[in-house]
Amino acid sequence: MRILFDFPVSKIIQSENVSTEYQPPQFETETALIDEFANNKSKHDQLSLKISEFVDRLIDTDELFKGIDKDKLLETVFQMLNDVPVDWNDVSEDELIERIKRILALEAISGILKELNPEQIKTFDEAVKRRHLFK
Amino acid sequence: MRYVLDTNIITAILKGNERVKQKAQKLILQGKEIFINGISYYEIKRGLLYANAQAQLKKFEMPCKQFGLILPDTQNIF
Repeated sequence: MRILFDFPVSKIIQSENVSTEYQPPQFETETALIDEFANNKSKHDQLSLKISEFVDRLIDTDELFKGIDKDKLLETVFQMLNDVPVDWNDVSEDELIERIKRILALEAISGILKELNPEQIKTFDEAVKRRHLFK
Repeated sequence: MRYVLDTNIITAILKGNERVKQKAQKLILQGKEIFINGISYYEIKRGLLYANAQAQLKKFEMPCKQFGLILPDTQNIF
């Protein structure tokens, strides 16, 4: 009996409360992850839209970009966006346009030698081949 | 990091090598600096002139202006 009275009542109540209190399931982490995913997806979509607009504008304004297959290029660029670890918040719009211009420049010269005939290709290869300086 | 495109890389792109082109495009997308080797510029130009490929010659000038040429005396690159 004596031992029971010496035990602080508040502790008993507290421990009872803890043991009986209903703990709702914690969804905060999952919600945060879903929010982050949605946020990233939205940013990715916005970036894709921006790139698509810039490509359109550049192809329309520059004569040398005219023959580029826009859909094929965008498909490649969007695929690259998934692989490339870049914080796009740090990239200004002007910088993004410059990068797209360079990507288009490479696209524009890609395969231009295919338009040459075999004789021209052979001449090209021969002329480009480096000669030994010291024989 | 900076990258310099050599003659064989540029030739591969001109011949339509998708893998090489996409690798370079990926670097550009990442914001890496890409230059064209000045010697390669003259080698490719010589090839196009010998082959009498006037349209290709005109197109080739564009990336050279976009990327810039690096000459052998540019100490910070070589």
